[in-house]
Amino acid sequence: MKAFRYAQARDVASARSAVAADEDARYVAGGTNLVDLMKEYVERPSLLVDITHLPLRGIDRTASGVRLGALALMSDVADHPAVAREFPAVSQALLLSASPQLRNMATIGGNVMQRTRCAYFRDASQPCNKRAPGTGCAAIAG
Amino acid sequence: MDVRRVTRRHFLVRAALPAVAAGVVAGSPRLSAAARAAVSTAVLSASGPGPIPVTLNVNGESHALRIEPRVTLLDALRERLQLTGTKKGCDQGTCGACTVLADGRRINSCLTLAVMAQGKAITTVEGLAHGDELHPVQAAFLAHDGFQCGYCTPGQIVSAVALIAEKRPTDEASVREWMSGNICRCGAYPNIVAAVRDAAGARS
Repeated sequence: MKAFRYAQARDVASARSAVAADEDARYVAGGTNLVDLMKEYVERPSLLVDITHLPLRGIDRTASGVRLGALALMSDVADHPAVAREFPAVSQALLLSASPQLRNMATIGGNVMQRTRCAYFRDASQPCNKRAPGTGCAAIAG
Repeated sequence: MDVRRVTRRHFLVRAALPAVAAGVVAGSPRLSAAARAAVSTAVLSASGPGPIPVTLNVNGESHALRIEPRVTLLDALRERLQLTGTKKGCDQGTCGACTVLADGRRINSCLTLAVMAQGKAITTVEGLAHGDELHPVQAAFLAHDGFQCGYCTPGQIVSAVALIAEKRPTDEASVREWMSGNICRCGAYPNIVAAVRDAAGARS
């Protein structure tokens, strides 16, 4: 894993400005996708902004549905009584994803923003237009 | 950023931090004028990439370390604290050999940065027994011969402790599902499931 600087965000504004100011900065929360890709040198951030202490964990019933904070954990959403009762497909889909350990780490926001899982994308020794535009696609020829 | 290269990902990364609408409610990410103003002035202080102070609370003891931000919790436990009960199997969050508890919840320590585990009570397999008195889950694994080579066993045991604390169903199918984050290459699953069910007080 390439060495990086680390900062813990205390508010949304400073987290956003830190990541916006550095193209190689990344937010990190659960880390289940990002840390894995960093070990493979697919992601090589210069700065990780830890957003896990931001108050974005809420799972709130609203008049029209349920509002999930970006940092709500997959396991907390799946086990939430209102989600399980009124949106069982969401709860069941989460429980069929990953593992109990990963669901205790991974956030809903990170889930939406997962990077592609193509094996060639994850293999830094292979060309990949997604990872490095213009290098080619190892999947085309199989 | 060149507008033509704004991808869905970049849009989400830049815009969706405050909240994500999960399909069940229509919500548009937006930033208040006050928050926009704050963006230009707020500053984060970063540390690293060299060693930085990291304090870990493991099995009730506080440990002050100096490690790089890239050190995983698994490597900190094994290489710095000599707590080698927690195993490195796949090192990519798939096998569960590295399972530990963080504030009582099971996680994969191989995908957890040690610097981000600060402030949490970490429990490893070494923290389960009371002196020579085994934790009931450990005793059940012995009684049911719930292992062959033993490499996955610490992760299996820690995961089972969490399963019981989570009050998951204890029928065989449920135990297999809720232990599915722990892989046993030897295939000792029948005995592992029996041990977990026994420790959970399931009626056979």
